[in-house]
Amino acid sequence: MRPEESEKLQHLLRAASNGDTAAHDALWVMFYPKLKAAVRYKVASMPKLANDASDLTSEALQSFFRRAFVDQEFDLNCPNSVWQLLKLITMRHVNDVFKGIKAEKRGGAIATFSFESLGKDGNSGGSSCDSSVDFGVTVPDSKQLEPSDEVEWSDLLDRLLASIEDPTAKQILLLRLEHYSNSEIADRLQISIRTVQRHLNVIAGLWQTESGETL
Amino acid sequence: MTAADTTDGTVIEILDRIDRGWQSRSPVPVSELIAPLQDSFDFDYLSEVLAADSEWRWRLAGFNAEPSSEPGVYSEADRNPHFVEDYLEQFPKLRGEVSCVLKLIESEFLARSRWCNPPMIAEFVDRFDQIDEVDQHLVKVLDEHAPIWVARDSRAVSSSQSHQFTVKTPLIVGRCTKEERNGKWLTNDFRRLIVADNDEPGVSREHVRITRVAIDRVVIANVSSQSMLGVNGVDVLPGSAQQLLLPTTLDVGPSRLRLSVW
Repeated sequence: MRPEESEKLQHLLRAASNGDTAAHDALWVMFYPKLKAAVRYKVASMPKLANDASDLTSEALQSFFRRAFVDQEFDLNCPNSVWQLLKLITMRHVNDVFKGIKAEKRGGAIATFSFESLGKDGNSGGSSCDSSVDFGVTVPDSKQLEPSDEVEWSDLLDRLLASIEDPTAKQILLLRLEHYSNSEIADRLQISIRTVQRHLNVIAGLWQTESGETL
Repeated sequence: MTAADTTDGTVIEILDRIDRGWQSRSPVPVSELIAPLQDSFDFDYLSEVLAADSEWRWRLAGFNAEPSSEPGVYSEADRNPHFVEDYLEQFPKLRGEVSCVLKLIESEFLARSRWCNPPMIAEFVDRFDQIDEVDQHLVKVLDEHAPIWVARDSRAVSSSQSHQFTVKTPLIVGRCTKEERNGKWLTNDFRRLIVADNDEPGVSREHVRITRVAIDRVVIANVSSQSMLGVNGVDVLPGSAQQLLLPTTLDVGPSRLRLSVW
């Protein structure tokens, strides 16, 4: 973000915090299109949500505004982190809605599945119904993460996605993040489970490179 | 992908080619896929090719409908599923490579579990009795690909506590020990489920052992010396065991456990 943009954003955030509705509107205009584009990309592989990008974006933005300006939950002194925070809140909202749909499909229990098979063979792990995503490393329950940690983790995931050029590998990772098992991914993409596993092995290697964590 | 992944990249390319062939109803013959090997014998590459071939064949055998919307039909030969032994007969050098044989076993087992009548682990143990790791390997495969999902509810009318877990097998269910009294329901290795306090009467520290015998079946053993176990509303005596189809319900002391495949 250029210094003048950062300054403008900081001014708007301060004004919005003081109840300036024009600043609210300006922030909405500033973030909505970019955020909606991110949501549309995210829901492209979620048929049940593919037409809900506008609603999901609005809901997430409203949630951010409430938490930021009413509940004053976030430290907004660093405008450069606002976009990351917004994106994180939005993606989590999309995931929660999607998990709800999946839970209905599965009979009511909301649960997540750990990413044990992203690790090397034999490095399996079970999972409880914590919101854990395990790339061979354990990510703490998102409810216990500080916003700064959440942004850091979101950045890491973004970098991982950016480093994957193969569209199939990217789809596999996105589906895994949406709690599909390897065989469900194989079914959805009409590829073999071996292909899914092999791609995930490579992704695990990339994750290690990006995060510096040892599997 | 990064340049460091040359081996993975090569294998992924060939797997993509296999997938595309099956998707378009003109599978590439295995002989053509392994031709680049020539004199060298890359077991990892070969076993990946054969495992993917096996998976597609079983997948096709199990499907009532065509798995692809592409025009064309599969030949009778394509529809013919291959057992691991068929591949070993074709490539006898693989027999000495236990990890490759296990990969083929895993592929057939998973594909049949997913798309055909689920086989028992015991079938593979019998077929490959010279390989000690088969049983352990397939249990691990199931834990990774289709773990057991446990929903634990309190049976007390006044309590609405509910917890849900995926677990690993063999799983021991019982009351907590003094060392375990830390509010946890599941130990870190996912192999011990704690369903009652240390002073809970009628629940042993090791009360139930749950062993996986197929993707959709478990053996439930009451391993306590004197406490009862309820299985789908019927009492199971100490020392006895039952094979059960999932989903199933167990009553252990104050807890009701609903077991299903994730």
